[in-house]
Amino acid sequence: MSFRQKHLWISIIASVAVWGWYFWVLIRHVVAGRLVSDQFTGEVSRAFLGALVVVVLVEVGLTVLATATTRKSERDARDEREILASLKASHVALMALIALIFCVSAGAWLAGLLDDRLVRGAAIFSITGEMLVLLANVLLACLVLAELVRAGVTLMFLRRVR
Amino acid sequence: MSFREKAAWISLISGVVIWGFYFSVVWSRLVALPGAWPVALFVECVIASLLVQGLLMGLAALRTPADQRSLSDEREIRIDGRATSLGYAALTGLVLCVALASPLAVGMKFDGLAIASQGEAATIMGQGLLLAIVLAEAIKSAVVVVLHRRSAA
Repeated sequence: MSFRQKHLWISIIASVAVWGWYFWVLIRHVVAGRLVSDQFTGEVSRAFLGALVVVVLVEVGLTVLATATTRKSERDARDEREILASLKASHVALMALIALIFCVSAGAWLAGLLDDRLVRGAAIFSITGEMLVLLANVLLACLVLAELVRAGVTLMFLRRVR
Repeated sequence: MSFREKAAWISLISGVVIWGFYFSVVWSRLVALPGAWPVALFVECVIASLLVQGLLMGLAALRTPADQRSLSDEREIRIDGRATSLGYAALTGLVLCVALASPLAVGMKFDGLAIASQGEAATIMGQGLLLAIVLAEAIKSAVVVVLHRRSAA
């Protein structure tokens, strides 16, 4: 496995583990009805900062390990194939991110419209409490998903041309 | 000028003109009524954008030989990839800024725009996301133009 592939696997595993934990905590908070609590924003912010620190530490630690187990000549050489795979994956990730943002925005707008006009806070999608913190976290989930798509597609292209 | 460069110029200029007009109107309406989003204007701008780009791309295609229209050149593939990569990085950064700024915006005032409630902030968040997509596309097109100019020089 090349250094670039190791780095991509590190990124995927660290993201899935750390951000998976973070969104699991967030979902549990929302399901438990803590969205209306005064402590919700503080608790979620602490979990977010914790996840950010852990993901950086895990990625740095594993990258150092991958560096130590890869020859220097392999680390420095970034061939044409790797560059093209990375550029193609960015294209797919950009399209995925635009589509996700569009779906989130359209969903939020439609939910708001239905809530205002029809159900007035009585439906399952009616959000009371820290709506913007929740929306910000949905956007964060979109960014994490797009990064996973980018890393996954790069790996797929690297394997295909091998 | 190659077909790809023409396409990038069309996307850049039509995007700046149409969405620049949209955001100037939206800003003045939001200052007057922070929770209001002119949906009809948005739909009109999407249609205008599709029509103008479709028409100009059709004209550009007519004036370019068929063999030059596809991304066959290694240099063009690389330019397109680099521009997309930068556009993606820009969009990621901008979306992160919108996500972090929106919850903090409630109760604040920006150049006459007072945000009093979460609903108003959510409307402005939606506009911020649209602006992020428009800016990322403009950055992508601008990078294509710059890299084509640089490689032609």
